[in-house]
Amino acid sequence: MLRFVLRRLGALAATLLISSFLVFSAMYAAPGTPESFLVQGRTVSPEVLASIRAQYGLDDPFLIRYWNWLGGVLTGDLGESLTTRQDVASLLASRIPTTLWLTLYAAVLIVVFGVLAGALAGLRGGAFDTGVLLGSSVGFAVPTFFAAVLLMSVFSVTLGWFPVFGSGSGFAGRIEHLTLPAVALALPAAAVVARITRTAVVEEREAEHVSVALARGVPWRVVARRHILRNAMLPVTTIVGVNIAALVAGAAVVEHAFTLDGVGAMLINSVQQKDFAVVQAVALLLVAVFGVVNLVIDILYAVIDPRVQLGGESA
Amino acid sequence: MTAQALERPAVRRRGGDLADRLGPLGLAAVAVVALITLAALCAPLITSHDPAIGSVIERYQGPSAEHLLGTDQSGRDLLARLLYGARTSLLGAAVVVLLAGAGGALLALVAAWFGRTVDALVGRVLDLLFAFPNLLLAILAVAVFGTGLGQVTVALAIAYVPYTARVLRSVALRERRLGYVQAAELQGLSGLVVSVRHILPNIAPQILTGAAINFGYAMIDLAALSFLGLGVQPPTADWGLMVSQGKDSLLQGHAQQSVFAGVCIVVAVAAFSVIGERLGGRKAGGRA
Amino acid sequence: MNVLELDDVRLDLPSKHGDRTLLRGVSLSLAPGEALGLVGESGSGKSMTLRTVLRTEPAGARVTGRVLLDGRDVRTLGAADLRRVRADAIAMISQNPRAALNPVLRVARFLVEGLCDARGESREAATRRARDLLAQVGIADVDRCMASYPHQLSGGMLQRVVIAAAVASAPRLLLADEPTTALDVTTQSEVMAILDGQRREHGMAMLFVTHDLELASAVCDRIAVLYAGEIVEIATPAQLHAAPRHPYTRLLLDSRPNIAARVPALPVIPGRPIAAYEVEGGCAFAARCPWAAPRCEREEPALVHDAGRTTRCLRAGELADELAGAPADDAAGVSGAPAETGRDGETEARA
Repeated sequence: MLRFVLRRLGALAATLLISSFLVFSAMYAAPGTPESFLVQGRTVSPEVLASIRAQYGLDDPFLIRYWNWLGGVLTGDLGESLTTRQDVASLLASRIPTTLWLTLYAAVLIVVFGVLAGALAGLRGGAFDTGVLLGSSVGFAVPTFFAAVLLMSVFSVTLGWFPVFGSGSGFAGRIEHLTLPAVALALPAAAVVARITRTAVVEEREAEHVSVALARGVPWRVVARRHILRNAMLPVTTIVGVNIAALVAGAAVVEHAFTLDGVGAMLINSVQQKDFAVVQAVALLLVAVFGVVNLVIDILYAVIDPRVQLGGESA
Repeated sequence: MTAQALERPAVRRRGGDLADRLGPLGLAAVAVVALITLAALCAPLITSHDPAIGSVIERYQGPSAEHLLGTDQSGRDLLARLLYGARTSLLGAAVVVLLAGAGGALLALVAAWFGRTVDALVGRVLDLLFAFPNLLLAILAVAVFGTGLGQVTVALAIAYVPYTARVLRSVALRERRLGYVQAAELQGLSGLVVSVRHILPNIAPQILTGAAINFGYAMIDLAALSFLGLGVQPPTADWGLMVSQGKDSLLQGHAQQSVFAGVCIVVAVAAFSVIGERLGGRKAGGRA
Repeated sequence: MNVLELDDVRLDLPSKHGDRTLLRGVSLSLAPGEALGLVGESGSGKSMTLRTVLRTEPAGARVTGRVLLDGRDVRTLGAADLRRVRADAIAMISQNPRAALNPVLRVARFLVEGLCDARGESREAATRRARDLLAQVGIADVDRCMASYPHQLSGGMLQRVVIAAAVASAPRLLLADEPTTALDVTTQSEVMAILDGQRREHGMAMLFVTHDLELASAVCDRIAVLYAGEIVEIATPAQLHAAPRHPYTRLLLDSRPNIAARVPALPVIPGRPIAAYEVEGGCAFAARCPWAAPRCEREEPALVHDAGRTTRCLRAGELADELAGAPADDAAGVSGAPAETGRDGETEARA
């Protein structure tokens, strides 16, 4: 188990290293010279330009610059923003709580509503099942940003139940401010999770070991919990995990819609302003978080499914 | 013995009658898609308004004989914007799906044909791309290529290539190992000829199914990028952009623009996902 | 009183193409401690008969007739009573032990839940009992077996576990549905011996479904031959081998491979087995019967009990001597087609 985790961590580190190079060189390959982004369209004298080039090390060869940047990243120095001159690391740190709260909130909603609705639909059948199927089909087709706009329109503007902007402070404040964004963020994923959970439960219900357990006189309650739900959770875990990992990037849309000061909104702004120092840092952070979440899912899966042989090729 | 003389294995999944496979719901979805496409193509015939021009005096009008669905914050006709917006939304998604399918197929064929080192290399590249969340990859590509419909479709296509390539690669590898492909190779036909003439037609059904499934996702993601201000730029009409632009009006109590455009997206995406699901026999959410 | 009595059990399964009759009135009885074999081709209704006893028939199936367990009709029991009967009185051993056990739970859990969750016994007592039984069914390393997941054990080992679980609750009746078909040939006889030994030791009655007439003869006191959803003959193995009374039984006996005498081609029963829902008036076997007379196509034969024998054949009396004779390949006009002999086995595996 430990070897498995260590090897996966090693693979993740390698992926991050290559990703960092990819992200860095992609920004380098973007059209226009770096200093033209730095001066942001202002006319400056050649001397100023030269000093800017020197300050950012733009005259160094590409690999040297990458090396310097990577060295900084590894020591926690993410450089400074090209537009605001602020330290990217502290900028990032101030944005992380909002995104963290938002994605965790959404993840809870996905697990609770997606898995619960799917499991009940699969176990009960009937009208509830039809309702969940229908709801998941619609929910899946509603884009996050449209859900955001709709929720805002109904619950903030019309009913005035929730604030329109801001991310709140304190636990209650966060919950109040982040409820609508989290619902919008969770909706499509919860729909997919509900659908897949339902299918998994229905398939597991048909399994022979389930009818064998019932034929042995094991009570339905126990069979449903121990044999149907337990087994159906295996495929569901993967789907839930994939969807939660995707929230990392999906949060950007919701943060933009609700003007939340999260990491995603920061990414969008910096892309629009071509503030590549920030783009690089955020991208690297998101890839790292994405990788860690995926790793946790794989470990979790190996723990709950005894048939998974740890230490196998993790491709 | 010629390649033609060898019996073609029946791997192509015909699955009986197409209408039968789609079912009533699937046929309804096809009808919806056809209707939207027709409306997009015939936009100038349906409305005489220019989607990009409006007069501020006529802003936020309700439905009238002149403006069937009313006007937006700049006094532009909403129906015209929805109709012309269908063009960008459909065309954008179509290009994304086409590019992603072509790129995926190319990678798959190369991996399958050369095998070993090349296949492993393609696998590594795909793994690396999978390390990026889909939307992040698209956003980064926009950062490199810039905003605009053309740039953003390419960006999204890049983000989709790993998914199509992964599916197609396994199919192509399976096909590669079949007797008739190996026989054609033994005859001295070049890899290019065998890949295009023999392997490609056999992975075509998967390419199509993948395209149908991805179409809905592509519409949503394109609209999302436009919503974020990274995609289609004003004053071009686009559903995602309309939802975005309607947001401010909505906070002032004019919900029409966002709601109309959003509903259009939902209906179109639902229709495409039903078709993809029926064709692929897959559950919704299984990105191909 | 009989442990089990089936009285005119019919089963219809609604399908897209109308109702399909799978059982056309099965009647049989089982005395305490007795083993009754149910033999027939695939689709003849053997397994479905078993399932009506446990009420595990497919959803939507309509079952009529009575299934008496110790005089109580199982078919009319409420949910709680049915559960109690399943937990206490009947145990089932199915064909594929790998499918019978939940793949993600340990063997110990499987063994214990039949006692704890189903019968309310204490966990300690149940575990002790499970360990004893595993040892009894010939498992050497009980600890390892208890701690194993199903995928870590062989099919033979798993079927022993299933047998141990079945015996654990000391049921009155054991239902065995081809318990050795899915196993390696080498372990088949071993598992069968364990099953038979356990059954005798605990004095359980057994309904044993198989398509192997030889195997049924070896372990059963009586054999019921099924064809197209109804019983065509019931007799002891000795009676059956010496003098079958139904043409179908005769042909079944003839189509067995014989170790003693090599034949140029194994005789095969002509025509294909028909399903219960395909029967339209007259004798179900008439179309394939070499001895069929014109009236066989019109008159439906009844199950007749006569001098210790039970047969469903209009011509049973006239044919008695002819059927009792030695393998009658010429007389019966049985055709040889070796390629077809595998068919039964194949369809069985799929069923």
